[in-house]
Amino acid sequence: MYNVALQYVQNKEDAEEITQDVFIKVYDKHLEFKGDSALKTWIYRITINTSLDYIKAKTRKKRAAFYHRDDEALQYISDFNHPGVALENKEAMAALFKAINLLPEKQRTVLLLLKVEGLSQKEIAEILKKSPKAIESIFQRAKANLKKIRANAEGL
Amino acid sequence: MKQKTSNNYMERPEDLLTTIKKVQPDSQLYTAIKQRIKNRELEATPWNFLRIAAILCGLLLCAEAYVISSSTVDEMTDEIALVSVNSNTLYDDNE
Repeated sequence: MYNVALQYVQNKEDAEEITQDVFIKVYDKHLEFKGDSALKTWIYRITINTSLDYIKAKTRKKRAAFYHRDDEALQYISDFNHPGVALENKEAMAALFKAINLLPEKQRTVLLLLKVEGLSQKEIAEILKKSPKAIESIFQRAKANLKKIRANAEGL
Repeated sequence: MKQKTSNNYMERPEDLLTTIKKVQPDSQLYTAIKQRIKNRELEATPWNFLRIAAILCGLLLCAEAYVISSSTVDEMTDEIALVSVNSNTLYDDNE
């Protein structure tokens, strides 16, 4: 849970907050869990949705803070602080995540689950309620878009 | 060698993601979660009590409605009886 959230927000404090929210949601909704899917899949789904909602809320806050020139709120909005990244890769990884964060939600999710979490296409297909073929196609689109975004950023 | 790896990542940046290591959260996080769940239990709405209260209110309303409707029917029956008696009197052939 914590590690999945970390890939989305790339920040220790935010990932901790998301993990807390996920635990509360699992606690609240455990009676609604019908066992149609594996518990792991269900928890992954909750974590992904909570992370995406958190990012949306944070973006709204960020916009409001810029608009109102609220320095205190802006200071609170934290930067890249991923504890799982090796020091020598930190700069490259920050640039990579900057591009990943611009990808559409589904493409970002597939890329992170496949490459960072190391899940199989079948497992991701179950989590996102799609076919493994669709996941492969989303992954290919994610890779192509990532290339484009990075090329634009580098001015190529 | 390092240059070669770096070039690889330039070509396939998504492979850089595989170098990310899994990390353990601080133990304080679990304490915070436990506390939040505890607070939630205290704040939880007593749905069972509310359900029983709602059912009792419903039953009382039904009973009241039944009592009112049955008394209204009795009154109406009496009035009909009265009218029919009066009308008979009005059209009495003997008058």
